Amino acid sequence: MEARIRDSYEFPTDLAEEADTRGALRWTIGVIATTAIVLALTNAGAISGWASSFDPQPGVIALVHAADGWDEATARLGLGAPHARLHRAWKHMEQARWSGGGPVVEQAALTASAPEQGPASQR
Amino acid sequence: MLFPTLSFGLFFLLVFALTWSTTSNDWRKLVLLVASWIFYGAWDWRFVPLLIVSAVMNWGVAALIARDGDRKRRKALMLGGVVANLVMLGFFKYFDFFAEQAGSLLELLGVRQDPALMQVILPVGISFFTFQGISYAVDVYKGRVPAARLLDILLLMSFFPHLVAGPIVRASDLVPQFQQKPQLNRGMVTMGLLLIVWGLFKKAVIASELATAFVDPVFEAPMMHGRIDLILAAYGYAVQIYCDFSAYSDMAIGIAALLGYRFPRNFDRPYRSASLQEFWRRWHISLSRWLRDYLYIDALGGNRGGKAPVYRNLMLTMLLGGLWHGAAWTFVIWGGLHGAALCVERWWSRASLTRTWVLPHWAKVALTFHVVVLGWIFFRASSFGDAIAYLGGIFAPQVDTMTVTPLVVALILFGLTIHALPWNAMQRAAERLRSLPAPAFALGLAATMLVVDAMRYEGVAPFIYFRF
Repeated sequence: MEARIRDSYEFPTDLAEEADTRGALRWTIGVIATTAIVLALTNAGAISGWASSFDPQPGVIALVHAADGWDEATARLGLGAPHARLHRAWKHMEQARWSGGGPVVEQAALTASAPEQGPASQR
Repeated sequence: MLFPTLSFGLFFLLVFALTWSTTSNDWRKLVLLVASWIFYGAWDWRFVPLLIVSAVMNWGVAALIARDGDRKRRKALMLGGVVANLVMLGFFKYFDFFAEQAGSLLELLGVRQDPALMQVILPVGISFFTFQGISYAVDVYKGRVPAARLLDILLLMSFFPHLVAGPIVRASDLVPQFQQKPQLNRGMVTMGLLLIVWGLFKKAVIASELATAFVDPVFEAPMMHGRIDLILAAYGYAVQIYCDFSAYSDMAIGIAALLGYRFPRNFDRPYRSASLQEFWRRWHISLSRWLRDYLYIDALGGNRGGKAPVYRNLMLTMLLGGLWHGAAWTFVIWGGLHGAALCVERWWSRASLTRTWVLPHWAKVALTFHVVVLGWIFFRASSFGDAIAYLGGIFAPQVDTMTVTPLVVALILFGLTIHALPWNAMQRAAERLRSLPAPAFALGLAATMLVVDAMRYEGVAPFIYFRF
C-alpha cells in the first residue's frame, strides 16, 4: 500500500538539490535547437505534411515547395529511413490479429465509421 | 492550436525566444499575455474579449473587496463576483440544456412550448477560467491571497499552457511567480521536456490508437460487439481518458516549466486507488481540490452539521462536479454514481462492519477501479439509453464477435501497468539526465520523439477535456 497519500500541492518540476541556475538558459537553448535540427533532418515528412495542410496561397505554395524539397533532400541521404522503418513496424503491429491472419473486415468497416480524426497533415 | 502539432511547436519556439529575450518582467508578461490571446484566438477570435472581460471583472471585484472594510459589503461583492462568473458559465454552457429540460417539463404538464434554444457555442476552456476567477474572488475575500495587479490577473486567467484544459492553477500558486522574473534551472527544464515527451506519447500513441482502433467503434455500436469487446472497450476508455487528460496536464506543466513557471501536479496514478476518496485525490487533482475547498467546504459547509448534511454535501458536490463536465444527464449520473459510492464508503468506514470484514488491499483497488470504469461508461456514452444498452450488452450480448486486436490489449495493459511505477519515477530520471551535456540530452530526446512520431496515429484528435 502507498506509504502516504500526499495532500499538499506538489510541483513535479521541482527537483531535489537544484539551486544553480548558471548557464541553464544556454543549455536549454542548446537542447531545444539540437532536438529541432535532428527532427527536421530525420522527420522531414512531417514538415511537408504540415505545410500542405494550409489553404493554397502564394506564400503557402512557396512553403510547400521548400518543405517538399527539404523532404526529398533528406530522403536522398537516407535520413528519413529510420522513421519510415519504425512506422512500417508499427503499422504491422496494428494489423496483427489473434489468429495471425489479415485485418478483420468488420473491424475495418467499423473503424471507417469512427469519428473523423484530423488529417495526417495536421502534424 | 493543439499541443502535439507542428503549428504549436513553432508558436512555442517564438514565444520562448521572445520571453527569454525581454529584460523587464512586465514586458515578459505582456508577451505571454498577447501570446495567450493569439493561442486562444486560434480556436475562435470572438471569445478572446470574453476571456478579457472575465479577467477584468474578477480583478475589479477582488480590488473592491480588498479596499472595503465593511464585512457585509465585502461578502456581497464576493457573492456578486461568484454569481457573475456562474452566469457567464451558465449561459454559454447550460442555457440550451436547461431550456430543453424546461420544455420537456412543460410538455409533461400539458403545455406545448418549443424551447427557446439559442444554439450557444461553447467557448473552449470556459469551465476552467471561470472556476479560476471564482477561486480568486473567494480567496481575496477570505484573506488567503492579496488582491493582485490587473496584468497579473489577466495573465493568470489567460496563460496559454493551462487555459483550455487546466490544471486549474490558483492565484496563490501562480501570481507570486508572476511578480518576479523567473529563472530556469536544468532540473526544471529536464523535467519539463520529459513531461512533454511523455505526454506526447500518452496522447498521440496510447489515447489516439485506443480511441480510433477500438473504443470509439465499440461505443458507437455496442450491439454489434460481443462481451469481451464491450468489457475491454470499457477498460480501454478508462486508459484512453487517463492518457488523454493526464497527457494534456503533463504537457501544460512541461511547457510552463520551459517558460520558468511551476504548475502543480494534476494526476497521480489514479487507478491504483483503494477507495473512491483516494481516487479523487489522484484524478484531476486541481478540480477535486477546487470542488472540496470552494464547493464542499466553503459553500456547503463540509463535514459540519452531523451525518445527514455530510452525505448531502458529498452528493451535491459530486452531482455538480458531474454537471461541470458537460450539460448532459450522463455527466450528472456519472457524478451521482461517484457521490453515492463516496457516501457508501464513508458509511462503511464508520460502521462496525469494517472491523470484522476487511477486504485485502488488492481487492479494494480492483473494486474501486471497476466502480470508476462503470462511471466511465456513462461518461463516454452519448445518452443514458446508450449507456444502459452498453451495460446490457455486457450481461446479455447479442453477437459473439471479437474485434479487439493484440496491440489494443497491449496498450490497455501498458496504460494500467504504468500505475505501478513509483510516484517520483520521472523526477528520478530527470535528476540523472540534467547533468548530461546539451547535445547528448537533445539526441536522446529527438530519438524518443522520432519513435513516438512513428507510432502516433495519423492526425491529432482534440483532447477529450477541451469540450468541458
